[in-house]
Amino acid sequence: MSLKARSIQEISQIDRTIHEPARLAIMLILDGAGEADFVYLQHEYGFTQGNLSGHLARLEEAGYVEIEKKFKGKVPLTVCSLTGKGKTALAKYARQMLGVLRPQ
Amino acid sequence: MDQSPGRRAAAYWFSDGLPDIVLGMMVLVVSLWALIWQILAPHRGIFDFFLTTTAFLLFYWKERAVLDWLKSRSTYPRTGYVRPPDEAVPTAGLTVLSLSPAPVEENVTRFTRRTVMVVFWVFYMLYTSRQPPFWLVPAVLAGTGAVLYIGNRNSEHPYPAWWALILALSGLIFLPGMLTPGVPPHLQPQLCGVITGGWLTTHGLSTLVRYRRANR
Repeated sequence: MSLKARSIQEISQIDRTIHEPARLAIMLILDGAGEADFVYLQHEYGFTQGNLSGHLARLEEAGYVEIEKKFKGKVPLTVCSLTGKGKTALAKYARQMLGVLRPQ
Repeated sequence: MDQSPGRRAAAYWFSDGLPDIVLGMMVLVVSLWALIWQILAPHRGIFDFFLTTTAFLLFYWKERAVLDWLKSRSTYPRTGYVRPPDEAVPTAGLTVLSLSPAPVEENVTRFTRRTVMVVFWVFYMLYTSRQPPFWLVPAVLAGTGAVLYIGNRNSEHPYPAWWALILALSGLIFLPGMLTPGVPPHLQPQLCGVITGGWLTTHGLSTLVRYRRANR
């Protein structure tokens, strides 16, 4: 596959916060599920607790993910969901990647 | 089954068997109630239909609250919380039983239309027919097994073919000569409900046992 110069330029525009595979997985899971808690995300991708915490903190800092601590019955839950900004960023990232990798 | 995050989330809601258990128990209890009532004081089937309709309305109103309560004590502590699937918006054409695959990339289900409503129509057909022919209950059970299997086979909560076959063939016991002294015609609709409820509950319980073994 050959990339045109314009595509090369676009690569530098790609959002690095989302581009990391683990964070991309988190964003995709949350986009599909609507909201999910810490344990579900751990099961889905096989994160360690520390690893997941780090990635979620990074996504929260960027304003892509909202983290809410609540209870379901007697079970404490850390529920994560995508923000509007996160959904927009994910859609933009998908467009950019498809544009960059489209066969010339 | 599509493995996109949205479809996985939808399937997750059914992975512990609790939705089938709650529906099955409701059907089982109301059918047993109708059966005992029919034995003690024979009455017209339409009264059983009103009783069943009330139970289904109650189920429709409280199902999610009951499931949420149960899941917060059994499922969420083990494998975590994920937002329950929304009921898919009906599309044009057949709304009660659409055979088109569920939309991908979405956390949606058609459980109400493809399972709950199918079971409800079984009761409707049986309780509102005044003089049911001898073949009606076996035919309805065979049809229910087939529809539940075909309608859900590509969905987020498929029923195994062999399990659907058990329900489909269970109606044979109502055929003349299969049981001695045979099932009286006025008790057949209620017994059909008991079989359907038991079938759903057993399927849910076996799913729950597998889930708990996998997630100790």
